[in-house]
Amino acid sequence: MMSLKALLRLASLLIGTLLMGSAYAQDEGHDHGEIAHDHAEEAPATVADAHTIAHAEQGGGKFNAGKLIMDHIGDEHGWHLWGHTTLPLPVILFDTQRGLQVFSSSRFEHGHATYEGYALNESEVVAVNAAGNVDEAATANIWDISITKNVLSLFISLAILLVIFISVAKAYTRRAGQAPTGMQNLLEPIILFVRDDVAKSAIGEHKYQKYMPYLLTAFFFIFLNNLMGLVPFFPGGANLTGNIAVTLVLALITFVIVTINGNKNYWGHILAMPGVPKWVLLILTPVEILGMFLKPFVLMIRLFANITAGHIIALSFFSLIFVFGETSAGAGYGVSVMSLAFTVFMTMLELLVAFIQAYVFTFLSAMYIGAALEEHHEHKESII
Amino acid sequence: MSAAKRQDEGDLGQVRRNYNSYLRYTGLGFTMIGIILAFTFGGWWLDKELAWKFPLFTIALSLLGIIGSMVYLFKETGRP
Repeated sequence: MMSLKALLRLASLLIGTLLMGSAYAQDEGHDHGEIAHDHAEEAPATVADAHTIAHAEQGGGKFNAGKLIMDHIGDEHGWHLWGHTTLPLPVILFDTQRGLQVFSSSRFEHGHATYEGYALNESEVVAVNAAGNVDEAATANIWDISITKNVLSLFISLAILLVIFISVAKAYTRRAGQAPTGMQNLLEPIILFVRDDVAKSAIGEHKYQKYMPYLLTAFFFIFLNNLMGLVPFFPGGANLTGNIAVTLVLALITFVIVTINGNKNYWGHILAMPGVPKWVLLILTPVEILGMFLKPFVLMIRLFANITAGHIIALSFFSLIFVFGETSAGAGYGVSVMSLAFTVFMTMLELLVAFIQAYVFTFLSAMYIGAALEEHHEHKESII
Repeated sequence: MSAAKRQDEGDLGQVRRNYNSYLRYTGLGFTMIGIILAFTFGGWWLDKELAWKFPLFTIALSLLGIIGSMVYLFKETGRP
């Protein structure tokens, strides 16, 4: 089972890397072409121009799977709903020169227009001058704190979590001592699972309670967002837990909790491992200090890579339809059957991965907290 | 609680702990790579700053990084 999963992961990463590689290669070629074009005609291409060229190429029947996939797993200003319908989102810029700027992302008209000296370039807000060229110096002054697709997705999942858990908490007080009903029934086993199999087994019976709020929050936040990422239409599909900034913050919280709560024994093991010859410490202490930072770093990478890989493989299967469809309509329809079957299979697997990754993140966080709290040689005694 | 039942729960707890203990090693590979990379990068930086003819520190520290990652591997897996 595990080896099959590992194989599929590898395959998905390989496909993703290949597609990304081809995307970058094409982008590079495109850029070079642009520069040559500029020199020949003395007419600098604007952001809007570049976008029009890209559109013309798409219109000309050139399907760029790499770009499609990167656009879908990335963040954007405005949430694409269907066809040509996009939900505009607020663009909030803090410009060190011009102060706070707030306007709707619909002003950019999907990257075709510039608004008050700002434009979209590869779904990033850049400053442009009067001629419509990207102004690098002015762009460096922009702090983009917009409500983007991922931020809105974060707000939606926070609202869902709050509604669910406040209602469940109320039900526990209202129905104290009675059997759980409805949503309580669904969540109680999962909460107990986090308590017994994660917190108690990794931190220990005596100290786990203090860390339960964080572990439960992390688990349900990651689990819900993993699931939302699998929903292909509006409130879902934002790849939030596949965004490295989100996983960075989650891993940072774990790192801070571990570092603040680390006891004498924990720091002793890092700075000078007891029972080890002095000359080995020369290597072991730097390695342990590195390990202190690398553990949360791996937490960040693992969640990001697993969820992003899941999104990439689903999109790759769908892209295959259009890649084959370009050669002939029949091939497109033929491949779509296989594509759909594989996507359904992968989505089933992703449902499992959504849970496993939430569990692994929470469990490893709990284990690092447990290691920081461990008293001298406590781990050697067996508890029966 | 009967003794037999307690024994059962103890066994189940043991199984759970054994299963969970594998999770500890999931990040081991990445951590080892990270250690080697960090040492090598440190050596590369030192060589860049010192500008010696021979890239001594890159070579020495990358080898030390490999040794360090091995020590780390032994330390992590040797824990009871």
